[in-house]
Amino acid sequence: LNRKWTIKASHSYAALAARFYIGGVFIYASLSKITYSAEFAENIASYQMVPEWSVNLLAIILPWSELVCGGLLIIGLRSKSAVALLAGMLALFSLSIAINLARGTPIGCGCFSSLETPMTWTTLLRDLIWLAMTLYIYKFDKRFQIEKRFLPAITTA
Amino acid sequence: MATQISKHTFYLKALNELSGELSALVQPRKILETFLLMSMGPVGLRCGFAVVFDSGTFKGTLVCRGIETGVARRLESGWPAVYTHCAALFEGGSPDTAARLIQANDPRVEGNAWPEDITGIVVWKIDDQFAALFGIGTTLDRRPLETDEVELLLNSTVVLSGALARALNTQQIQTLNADLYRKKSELIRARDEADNARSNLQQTTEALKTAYRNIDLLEQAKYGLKALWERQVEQAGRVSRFDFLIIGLVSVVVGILFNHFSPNGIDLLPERFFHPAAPVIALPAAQALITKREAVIIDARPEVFFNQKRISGALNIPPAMFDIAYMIKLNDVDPDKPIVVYGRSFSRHYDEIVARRLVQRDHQNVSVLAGEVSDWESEGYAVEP
Repeated sequence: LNRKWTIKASHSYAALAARFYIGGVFIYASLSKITYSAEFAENIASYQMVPEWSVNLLAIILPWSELVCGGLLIIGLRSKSAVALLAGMLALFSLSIAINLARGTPIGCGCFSSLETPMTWTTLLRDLIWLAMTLYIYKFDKRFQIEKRFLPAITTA
Repeated sequence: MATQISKHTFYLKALNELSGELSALVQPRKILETFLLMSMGPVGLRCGFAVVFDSGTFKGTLVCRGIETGVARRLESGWPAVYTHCAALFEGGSPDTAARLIQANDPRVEGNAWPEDITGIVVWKIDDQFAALFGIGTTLDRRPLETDEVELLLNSTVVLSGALARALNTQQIQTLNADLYRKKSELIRARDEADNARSNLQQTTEALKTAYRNIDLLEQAKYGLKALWERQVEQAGRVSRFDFLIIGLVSVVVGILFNHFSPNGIDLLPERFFHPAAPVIALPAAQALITKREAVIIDARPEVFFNQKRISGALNIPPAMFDIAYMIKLNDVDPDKPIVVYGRSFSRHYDEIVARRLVQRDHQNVSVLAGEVSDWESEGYAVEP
């Protein structure tokens, strides 16, 4: 029983560390995209995955979604929903990268800035690892969640 | 005998006049004054007094006529004692309704207080409550009263008694009426107060009902909020569509606002949506112009795509690098020389963007190729590398 408990506790702490990491990655990734939305729009267009009318809208909204979800993950508010959204984004990013790698298009992934070297299979692997981390967070994350810590106290008060 | 008849007629006439005068009066004082005036004259009395009073409380009205001021003053306070002495002479210590004259020379009254210049006092009861005294003074010629004169005076007291009874009854009726009116006013006031109180009670009841309704609403709101809060607590560890909606809304609103106010902001939709399309040139026509070196061919795609495969001789001028690339590669080109632009994808019409910018730089003959590099290659035209 103790062993089981220890494993569970280990998972929850690992999930907490992963949560901070993924949250930080997405906050960092969003900053340059928010600042240089024109370049990010070109990156999205170069993937050739979304229709022309939606490219600029995505370039404006997507970085803010990353920032909001990353922030929620860090502070532990609605982290389950936030990590689910980030997992969805990573799944789409991975799919897009895979398709473009298969096409042989030598574009940068646009993950952090527009001045990146062309993406490779390593880029895809990295995104898949992040995707796995989000799923891990989704399953094991229990610690330092602001709602669980404060909401019941307020309700009973 | 004739003289006797004439005298009696005179007395009857006097009584009749007295009755007529007194019947018109309602104030006891006025009645007493008139009585003294009219009853003293026929028998030639020099002075007299009359009192009507409540036999229980000895409150009453005294009127004097012809009596010296000092005597009258003493009489004002002394008449109850006079009455008491006189009443003591009656059987049972109380006078009767029939008037009775008590003479000053009656041995039973000697030694008691007796008003000066009064030769006799008539005492009688008007009713169970009120009694009266009539003090008969001396005559003008100081002679004793004759029997028929005494009878006249006693008859006068009967008339007086009737007038006083009527006046006192009227006074009592007036008092009762006033009392009734006062009680009626009090009743009306009490009724008004009761109406006001009832109205206030109704208003208070309405206010209370409103307050209870408000309390109910507040209670419902409280339970609603509590339920919402508990639901939020319960959903804290779950994925919720509501969360997705909120995150999406925040991202859309903040993103659009930030983009609007940012110096690096971009159009929400591609700019070509708002401008007319550039003229299109068919592949063979373009090939003919290029072969004759009569036209410049421009690849508008990003450099990575240009480097992959391009139409032979094409210059790379992507929209993102347009100003620099134009300065380097097209600055010396004649504005009238035909320019053919190509390069578009599912996500971006680079050719349209570059064509528009060339027109803005005064190039008159700019057209967009009706196909991509792959189509060009399929037609068997030259591509590189």
